[in-house]
Amino acid sequence: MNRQDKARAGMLAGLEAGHAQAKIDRRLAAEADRGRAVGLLDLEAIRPRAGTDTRPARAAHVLTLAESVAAVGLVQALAVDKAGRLVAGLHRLEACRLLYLVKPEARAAHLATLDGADRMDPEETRARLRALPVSADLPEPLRAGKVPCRVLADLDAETDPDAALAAEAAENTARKAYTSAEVSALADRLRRAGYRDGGGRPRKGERALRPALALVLGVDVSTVRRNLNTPEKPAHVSGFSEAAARLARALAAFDRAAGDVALADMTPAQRRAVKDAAALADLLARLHLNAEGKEA
Amino acid sequence: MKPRWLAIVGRKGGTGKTTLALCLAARYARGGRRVLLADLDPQGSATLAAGAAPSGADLAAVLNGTAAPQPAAVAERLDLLAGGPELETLTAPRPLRDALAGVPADVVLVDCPPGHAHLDRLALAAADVVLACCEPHRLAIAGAARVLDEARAHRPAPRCAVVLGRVDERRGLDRAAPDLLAGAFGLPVLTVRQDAALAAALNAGGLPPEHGRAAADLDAVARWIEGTEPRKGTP
Repeated sequence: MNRQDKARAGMLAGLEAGHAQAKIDRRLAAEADRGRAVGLLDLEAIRPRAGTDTRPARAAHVLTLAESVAAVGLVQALAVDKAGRLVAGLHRLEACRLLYLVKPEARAAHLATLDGADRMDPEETRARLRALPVSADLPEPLRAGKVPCRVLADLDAETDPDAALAAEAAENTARKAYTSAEVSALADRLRRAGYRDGGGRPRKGERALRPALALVLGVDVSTVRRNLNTPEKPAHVSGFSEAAARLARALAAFDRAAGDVALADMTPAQRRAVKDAAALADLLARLHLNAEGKEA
Repeated sequence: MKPRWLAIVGRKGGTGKTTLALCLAARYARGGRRVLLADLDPQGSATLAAGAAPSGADLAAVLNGTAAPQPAAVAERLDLLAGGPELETLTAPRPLRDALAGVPADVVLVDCPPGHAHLDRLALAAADVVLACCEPHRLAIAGAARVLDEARAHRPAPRCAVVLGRVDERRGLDRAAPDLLAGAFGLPVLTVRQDAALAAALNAGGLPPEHGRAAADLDAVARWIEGTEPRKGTP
């Protein structure tokens, strides 16, 4: 392959890197939009779900969730429409209400109104309710009776139930993507609060870490297991898409560092960033050519 | 008549965005159109090149909603809303079309900055036409691809083209690049040849020359833009 061919391949590799960067841009913009819309609402200000198809909250689920909220706070925000009607997060809301009631008898009375409370072991339930923190030990902002809420300002759940249903589905699937490090940090907080890892069914009185973490994050247990078992990987290029992602990051650093500055005017750190970006771009070009060779 | 909104983007620095914006602005103004050049660059490159000081108060204040737009006259029929460092600090800017509604113009040219996705987004949301500046180099192509991906995802979708600048036809790569990139981007690739007279004029603080290699190539760019209808139902 001559120099011209290599340069052409490099230009196409640049295009691929740009597409990869654009994907990151879109994800970051979406996360920023979601983050901006989250505010703190008073628990009392959150109105019941609109319509008649309200599912009752399951008592056992609410109690388990309340234990994890007590340990690490409410990690995933609730969602309400423009009038403050709940759109997504019924169990999270009930867990927060249960905790905010503070007195064990009031908590027990609240739990008894929920679905399936009569099927729970009364002795174990009482013990678990007693173990929940008192007012002063509640995590902020729940101590002040507030919960993080995403206000869907364009949605009126009463007049547009279809849109409310779609919003609920979106809220329940478009959860924040947590990194392994963030999941590990939350797991550590739960361990400090008495949750235990280890396989198998937890013994009576023991609380299992992974299901609690899955509940807190709003993901399934297998995702939690994968996150907890995956240490931060050392840099290793195994294919084109990974190289593209690395190049995208290096190029983003390059953009920030280099701007319009001429090479001669750059600091050593900026020159290193340029050099790294170029080295990765070469790597990407080579992988791209390999991939093309295989396809041909 | 509704103004036609053009966004000049590229994401990477030094790809000729400001040069293209000034060239098109001067060309339209000389042709009898009333032009507003909105400098969305915190470096204020277009503002500096047009001989105005990058006060930063102008476009940033308008987008913040703290001031009404007061463009400065740069040449006959060519007004400029200055950019500057305050653009870096925008937190909840107004949409460009709302913020600049009422400014008399046939053409609004938005010169976008390098490396600021959130500022690019303001221009992309307003644009009828998006011109992505790049050179036959992979870093510039990466920048153009990055911003064009976002432009093409907008609804209503603007018309997009790649503008390949500073093309030197003596170089084999420069000759090959337009076809290669047209295929890869799936978009028209318009070329503007390297022009020493243009560089000299801008360096001297003047407007782009009326004639020359680059001016001839810009005729083709303008003809391609003419094929775009201004967006309906918006200011």
